[in-house]
Amino acid sequence: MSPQINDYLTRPKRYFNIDGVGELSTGLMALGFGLLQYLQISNPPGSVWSSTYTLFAFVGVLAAITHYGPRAIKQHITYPRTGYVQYKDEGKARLAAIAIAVLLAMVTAGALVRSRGGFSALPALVGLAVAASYAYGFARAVRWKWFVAIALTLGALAISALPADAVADWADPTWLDGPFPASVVGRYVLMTLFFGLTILASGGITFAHYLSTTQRPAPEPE
Amino acid sequence: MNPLIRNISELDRVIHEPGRLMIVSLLSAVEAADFLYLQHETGLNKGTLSSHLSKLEEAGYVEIAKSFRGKVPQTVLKLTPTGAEAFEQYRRKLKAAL
Repeated sequence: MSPQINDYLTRPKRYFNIDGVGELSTGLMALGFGLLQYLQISNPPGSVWSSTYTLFAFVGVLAAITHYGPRAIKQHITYPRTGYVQYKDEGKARLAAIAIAVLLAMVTAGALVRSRGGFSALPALVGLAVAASYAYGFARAVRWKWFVAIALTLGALAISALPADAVADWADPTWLDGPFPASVVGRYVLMTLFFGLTILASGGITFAHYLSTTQRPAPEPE
Repeated sequence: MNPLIRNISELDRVIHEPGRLMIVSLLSAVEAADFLYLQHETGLNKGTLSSHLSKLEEAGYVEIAKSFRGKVPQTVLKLTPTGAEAFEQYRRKLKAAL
């Protein structure tokens, strides 16, 4: 009986991504940032894409789309088809988890900066962390999404293994005045684009499947 | 009396029924949910679900609020503090019994 109760207790969390909206917004966010970074490195240093105003405008538009888009889909498609759920406010727990994750990332980055040549491992570590987060957040609920998690992991490793010179040539380093080598920036941009596209595709498949397998209940006669 | 049998006999009968157990488990994990969501997750038909919800409401375990979302009527269900406490006790006793 207990495993059945536990199953019902975890269903509402799984329901959050039943329509793929969680993945669609995550994928869109990653793809958006990847595109912006690509435009920044593939254009001259003084271009409009490198301006702070563009960054703010881009972040604003992306934040608005990923905030209001899922709400609109839930409101007009998901709730009328399979029901409405109001989740418990877990703001404090979520903030604590984010704080711990940021702290861990800072400690790891610090350790890498201190070690000579450590930067080259950074994209692989970030990629594996994102793949693990995807597995935890999305793949646990739906079996076929483990293939997506594996694809993300393999993709992160493959991008990290690309020849540093080729990636550095591709990611024009002229605008870079930070501590990160061009090969690391290039790998990071490629990885962000790859993750964005993959997660967006997975969310799209889930959304299409949801639409084809569910429908609004017929209105009752008055 | 055998402690195992005593534990089982002390289980809350209102919650112990499988349909109501599903409903209470689902509601305990959220702030609130509507009738359609419960129907979708439990697979119960409207009549059976309504009957279970009435029993849970009579026991003071569930709060039922009827409203409109746009022009569509919506029934929102919420576990009361009494219901949440009863479910916790039920789980503790069930764990002890098993």
